Amino acid sequence: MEERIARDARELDPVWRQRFDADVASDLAAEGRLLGKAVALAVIFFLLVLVRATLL
Amino acid sequence: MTEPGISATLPVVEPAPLRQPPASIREASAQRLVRWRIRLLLVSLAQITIAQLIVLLFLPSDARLFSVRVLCIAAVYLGATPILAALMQYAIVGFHRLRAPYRRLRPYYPRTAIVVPAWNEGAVIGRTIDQLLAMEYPADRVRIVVVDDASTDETPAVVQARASEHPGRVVHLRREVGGQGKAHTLNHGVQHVLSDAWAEAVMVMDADVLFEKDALRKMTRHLSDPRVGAVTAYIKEGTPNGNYLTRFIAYEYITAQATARRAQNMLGVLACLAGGAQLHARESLEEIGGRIDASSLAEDTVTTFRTQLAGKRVEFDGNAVVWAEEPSDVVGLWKQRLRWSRGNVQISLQYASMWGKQRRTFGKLARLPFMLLWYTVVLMPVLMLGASVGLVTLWAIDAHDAWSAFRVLWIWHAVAYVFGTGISLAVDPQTAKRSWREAILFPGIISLLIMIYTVYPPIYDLTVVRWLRGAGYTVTEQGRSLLALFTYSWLFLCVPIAYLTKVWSESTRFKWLVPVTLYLVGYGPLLCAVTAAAYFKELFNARSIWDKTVKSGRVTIGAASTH
Repeated sequence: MEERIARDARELDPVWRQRFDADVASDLAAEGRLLGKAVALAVIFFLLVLVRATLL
Repeated sequence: MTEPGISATLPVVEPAPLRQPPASIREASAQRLVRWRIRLLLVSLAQITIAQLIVLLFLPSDARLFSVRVLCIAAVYLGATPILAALMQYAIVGFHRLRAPYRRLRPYYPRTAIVVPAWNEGAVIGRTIDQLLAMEYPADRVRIVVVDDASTDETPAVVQARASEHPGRVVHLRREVGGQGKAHTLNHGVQHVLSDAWAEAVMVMDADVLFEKDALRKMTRHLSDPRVGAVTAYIKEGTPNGNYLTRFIAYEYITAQATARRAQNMLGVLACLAGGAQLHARESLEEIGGRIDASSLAEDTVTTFRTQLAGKRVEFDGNAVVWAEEPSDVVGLWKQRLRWSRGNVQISLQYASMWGKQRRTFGKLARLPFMLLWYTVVLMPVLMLGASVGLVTLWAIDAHDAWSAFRVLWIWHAVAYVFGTGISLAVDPQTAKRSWREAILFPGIISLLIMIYTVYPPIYDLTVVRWLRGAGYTVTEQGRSLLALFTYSWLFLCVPIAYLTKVWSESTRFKWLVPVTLYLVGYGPLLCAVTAAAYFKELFNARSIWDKTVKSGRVTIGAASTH
């Protein structure tokens, strides 16, 4: 595997390295947004349960 | 090492026929399976009978009643296990960011052979090949091998034309005798691909699937980790201007793939590599025999299990997206899902005894979270029937007990529904834009009303009773009892009613009832009815037919945005 990765670094145009970096950055950002939404949903859900338990 | 140079102008390569185990071995294996099933059935019947005898003959009447009550409550709460399994997935999916392996990955662009099985795919195959050729991936590192399964339409001509245009990059393999199923067709191509040293990775896909330009490289990057044996992508429903059913499927794919498979990544074990886009490291594929399993109708799942049993990890990349055309009528959906469900039942039977005996070999596949995910899906109809029978029996014994158990069960339903729908819509906002109505109505209008009623019971008196009074009617105790009986039975009743959508879909007279019924009873119960049908097919050893899902070529990349 190490040989193949070294081969890619040697033989391939640097543009492929740049595309890989861009992909990783955008995918990490997407997963981060999902984490934020999940936390926000959990908070909203908790508030809903609280409203049901106390007000209704 | 062989350079890319299999010229499409050369005569079509016909690899040697795949080796099958001798007929006597296959027959003996089938007989063993049948015997095992019969044993299982007999043991279950014996257990039930003994339990009944104990309850009815040996216990005093108070204890008898108490035992029945405990059994019923247990059956109702057992019916809540699929909800708990779903909740577990929804709870952990958001944290995928913390586990996401992207930081560990390195740029890796292996030479990838893409095997495309094609049986009468003239309407779609040309566009699929063009899309594959247009992917952003080093051009000299992709080879497309189309295995034409004795097609009688224009498939051979279309593929030959592409092969002539792109010699060495597109290869046309033809099987003169076809119709044995996808796994056999794939193996023909896989065997060809592995016959020389060119391929470092093998992609297996469906003929109608369209890859986004970055999908392949987003999948191959995972193979830079030598512990990873295979990777799968997120398949999205891609019919532009689709109908109610394709929108239901689009939402189902968010929950079943984008959400559930992210959660499975978190658990470190994957149930299934999507058949439409699975990438294998060559070494990993060779380790599992260099072929796709052809012993069941769910070849994808068996391949996934075998890869993990061989000690390799299987990853899902939700950011690598491919688009597929899904059935637009219930009959087509039924055929497709019956094949999948029956495959899952076959796998459950194949692996059931091994799970108990070889826990260490099975690793994470034998751990409780995965077992919970797997069996709650496969056993869903049984669990739903058990919960309904338990509730109705409890109601006959003690209405108060029945109401308490019913409320607990359905409040959990409501919790899972609200939280799960929110998370799923957040996972894929693009699809959510066109399928939000189907997301809300996924459990069906009747189940939604039951959820509202259990979360806030006074709503019944505030709305229905008041409205009836206004119209000059009074709600009697008998009426309330009938309503209770209906709601307690609904968890099971919805399954045969969902089955009616399939029956009506086949008729011309009642076809208009299909969408109405589906929105009323829900899409989930329809899938449950398919699983129940798979039990019967398997129990009575019905012939395993590989029914191809008909494709029209309507799929479009980014179909969601066209709505």
